Amino acid sequence: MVTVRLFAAARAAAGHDRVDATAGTLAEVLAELIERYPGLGPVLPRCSYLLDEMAVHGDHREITLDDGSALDILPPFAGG
Amino acid sequence: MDVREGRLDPEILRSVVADASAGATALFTGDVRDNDHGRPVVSLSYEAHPSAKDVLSEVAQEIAERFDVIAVAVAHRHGPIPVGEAALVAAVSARHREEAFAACIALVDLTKERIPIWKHQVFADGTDEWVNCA
Repeated sequence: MVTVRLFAAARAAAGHDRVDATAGTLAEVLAELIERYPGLGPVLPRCSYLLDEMAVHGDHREITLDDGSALDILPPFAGG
Repeated sequence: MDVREGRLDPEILRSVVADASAGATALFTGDVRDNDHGRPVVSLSYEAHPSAKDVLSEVAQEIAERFDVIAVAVAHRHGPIPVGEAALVAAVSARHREEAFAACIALVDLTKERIPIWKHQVFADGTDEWVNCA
């Protein structure tokens, strides 16, 4: 399992601030989340991600989340 | 550099960057307003990611390196913020005003671009939105 932390609009859409998901590629993890929490559908395409506190770049199908990984889902920032 | 709940005092940031060699201090406060897109806003709150303070330190470091300034300070508040109070305060001291103004603008712009903070606002008609995500 991987631990997923959701912030701001993503948390509001899912109704949870922390959920577990099955390990796999980032694309698979996100697809599982949208299936479980359909409200995330319109939000996730606008989000960025931290995998074990590092910014994610590149193709989501080629990024692997191992058991015990931590994924943060970050909607577009709006500070200031 | 600070990210915290509770009121920000611009005077504290001004004193942090004060230096006898500085001839100019630029001080900016980004304040909560009672309207957005022409609609009345009744309440507003910010949510910060745990990394926000580290990001703010990196931003300040980058500005200090890019500009010929003496000192740089920036703070962002989170949690509920009443209308009229500051959400963001930035201060820059330099020998002359041109560098102080330019660096302060860049400091605010880079902070807004990079800081992992989100803004939630509630309008007078009862609707609400996460800004930049609506």
